[in-house]
Amino acid sequence: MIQIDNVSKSYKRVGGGRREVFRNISLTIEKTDRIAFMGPKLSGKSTLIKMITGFEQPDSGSVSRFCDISYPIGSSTVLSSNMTGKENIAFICRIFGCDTRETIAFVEDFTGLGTALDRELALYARDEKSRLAFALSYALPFDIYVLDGSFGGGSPDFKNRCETLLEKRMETSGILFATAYTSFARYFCKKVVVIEDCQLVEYDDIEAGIEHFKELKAKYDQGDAA
Amino acid sequence: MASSSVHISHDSLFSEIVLWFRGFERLCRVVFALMIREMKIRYGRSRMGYAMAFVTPAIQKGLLVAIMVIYERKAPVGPSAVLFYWAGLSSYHMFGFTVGKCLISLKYAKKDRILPIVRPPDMLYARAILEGLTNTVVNVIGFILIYIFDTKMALPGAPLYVIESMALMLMLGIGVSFILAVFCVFFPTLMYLWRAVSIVLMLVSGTYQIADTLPPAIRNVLWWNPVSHGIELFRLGFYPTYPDIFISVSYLTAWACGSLVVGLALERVMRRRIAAHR
Repeated sequence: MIQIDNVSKSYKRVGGGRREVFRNISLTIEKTDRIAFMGPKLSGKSTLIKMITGFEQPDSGSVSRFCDISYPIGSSTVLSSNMTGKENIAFICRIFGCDTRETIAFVEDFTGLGTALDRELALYARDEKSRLAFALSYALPFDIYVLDGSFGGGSPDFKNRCETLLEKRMETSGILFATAYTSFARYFCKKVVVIEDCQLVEYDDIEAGIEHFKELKAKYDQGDAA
Repeated sequence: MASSSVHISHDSLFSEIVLWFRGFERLCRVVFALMIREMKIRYGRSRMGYAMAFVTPAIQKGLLVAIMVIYERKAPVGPSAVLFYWAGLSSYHMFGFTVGKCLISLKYAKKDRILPIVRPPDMLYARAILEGLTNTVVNVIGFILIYIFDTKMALPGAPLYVIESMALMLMLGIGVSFILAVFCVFFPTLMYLWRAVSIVLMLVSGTYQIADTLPPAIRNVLWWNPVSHGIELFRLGFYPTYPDIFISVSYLTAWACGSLVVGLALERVMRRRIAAHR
């Protein structure tokens, strides 16, 4: 379970002053929940994800995590560029207490990187790096997988395989998906949380949530044009 | 009703304990993982690997000892000048090197915050423990070499004093680096300032003298410096006739515990501001 309790968050503006992102939001997320966080650009989807995974601290209120929660899936920030692929995998396994050998075998098999895993990460092509990052984060057994924007990267074939894998993971775990694509929300999620005016609006009915999101997006796009 | 509520409180106490142990297990796991990564990264490109981490402080210490041996020729106590200065520096560096390495760990821990179970102090713990182990290895190798080539006194007669001194100096180092690391996030200049300060601190901590033989006026001021107590305590383990009127272990312990409490509290209080600082 993750409990977001009365959280407020704002960022310093470069020119001075503060931009408010969230005002006194509360949300309880269960282990098996599949939630899509939806909102137009700059509405704070990523900030919410960052606060849930602990990267950002709220200004006030608290976020309590009572289960194993992943880092944002496919994030390459966790990888160190002057270690080899295998060393990186071993590091993440040690942190989360998983079996290193099994994980390496899984990643090797899933990405098809083979001997490239013995190379230093600085020498990886961008595609190889993103494949490693995605496979590694899916290899670990989390209670809740957190996705920010995308569920797979690289070639379309690899993206498809990521999708299949995510579906398999969803059988036993929950997911939190920050996205601006209605198709992702429909396909992966059972609940929608729309971010509007620094507040969260929960929808158990996916279509109603998507409808609300579309209105907000239209408003945002109009404002953008004007 | 009463019995059931008692039952619940027992139950929650038990689950508290279980939670605490799970948290401790998590901490050990994370710190261990960060330690291994630190070892791989710091000298990753060098062919010698982490052995470089032993060579650098050994050379630094060896040069400082060499300068003093050439300059002074004779030790204030005991037959060997090399042993006297090596012992003083061994103790001081347990503190000095730890602070030097841990000072920046909160400033550069940003990247690791993306892993939900890594907390900001974990990186500092990892570096401190690694630095403590590395320094211990360097010190021990140094004493073994002195034992073989110079004097049999390099085998401490009272090893407990030596261990006590190293442990307290490491603890003081961790406490002080917590405090400084918090300030270092907001005032990065502190990193360079520390290098200058650490040299001065080494000179005014009695690394090169016996505190009890100094003039009383200087000695009374020196007494307030906790580092000097650690250095004196370290030497006490090697020389049976070493003067120990100066040493106050409780003063050093109070500093070690106090700085650790203040440092940990400061980090916790400032955690949100540190995260928001960029």
